[in-house]
Amino acid sequence: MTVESSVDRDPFEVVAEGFLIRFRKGERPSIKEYVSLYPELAARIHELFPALVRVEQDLTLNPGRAPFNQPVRPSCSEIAREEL
Amino acid sequence: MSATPTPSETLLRIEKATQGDPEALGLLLGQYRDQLRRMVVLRLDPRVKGRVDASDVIQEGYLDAMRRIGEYAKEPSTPFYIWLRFLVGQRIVDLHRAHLGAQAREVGREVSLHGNPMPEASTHTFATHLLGKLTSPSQAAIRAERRSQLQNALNSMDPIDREILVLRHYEQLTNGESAMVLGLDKSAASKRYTRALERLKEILSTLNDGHSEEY
Repeated sequence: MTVESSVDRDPFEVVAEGFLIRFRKGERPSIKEYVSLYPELAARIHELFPALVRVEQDLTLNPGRAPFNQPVRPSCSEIAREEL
Repeated sequence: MSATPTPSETLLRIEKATQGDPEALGLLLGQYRDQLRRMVVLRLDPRVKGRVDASDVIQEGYLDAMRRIGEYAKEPSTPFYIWLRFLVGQRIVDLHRAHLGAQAREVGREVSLHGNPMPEASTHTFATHLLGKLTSPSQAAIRAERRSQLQNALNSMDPIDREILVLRHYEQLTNGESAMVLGLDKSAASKRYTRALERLKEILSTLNDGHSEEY
């Protein structure tokens, strides 16, 4: 996932995207950390981060797989099979 | 070479692919295969799954991509993955028409690129597959209950709100990609995501289940 411009985006959504990037890399940043980083969004962070993590954890078919931003490069034979 | 292509490597592959390099195109298609498979599994109607495999759908989409890469090269205004996702999505639509005819769902569809609808995320699929990897019967029961509640919450949401949560979390698209898929501008998609999360939080609260396992 690449970070896109935050111009005209909802400030909470921009912060949430940054949080998700870290979360998908296996980090578990705390709500307290984000509240201290973005005090102007403290209320929404407290209110919405638990739901955000909930949907991130449970809205998946296979929680054990590698995240999309870390794809495993397929072998040439696998690529050929998909192409055919 | 690293297992994960960097953004610059991906851009180079796209450039080479649009210039007719079959190896670069093959690498690109392989790069996005897992992501596409997840999209197909979620959006393929359960009534069709017994007859068609997700890999078959992806392969048909890949063939379309190989045939139409020249068109993309002329006007690459859409991110490559979103273009590829659109082609594979069109194959799902075609399959639904062929196998289900008038029974294909007509409402609540994802608004897709170029005005063509893509099937909405099938919450029935969540019910079937949201089991994941579990280590004990009690953990399995708790997780199954949590996911059942999440599914119920999603089912009760506005279709666009549900769709943007699926795009951002399940398909892991960026805000810009989600905006393009839904035909919204980036600002509207961003606000819609936050609103959807607020709505989800409200619904989960009524179920007395607003918290994740870790937060």
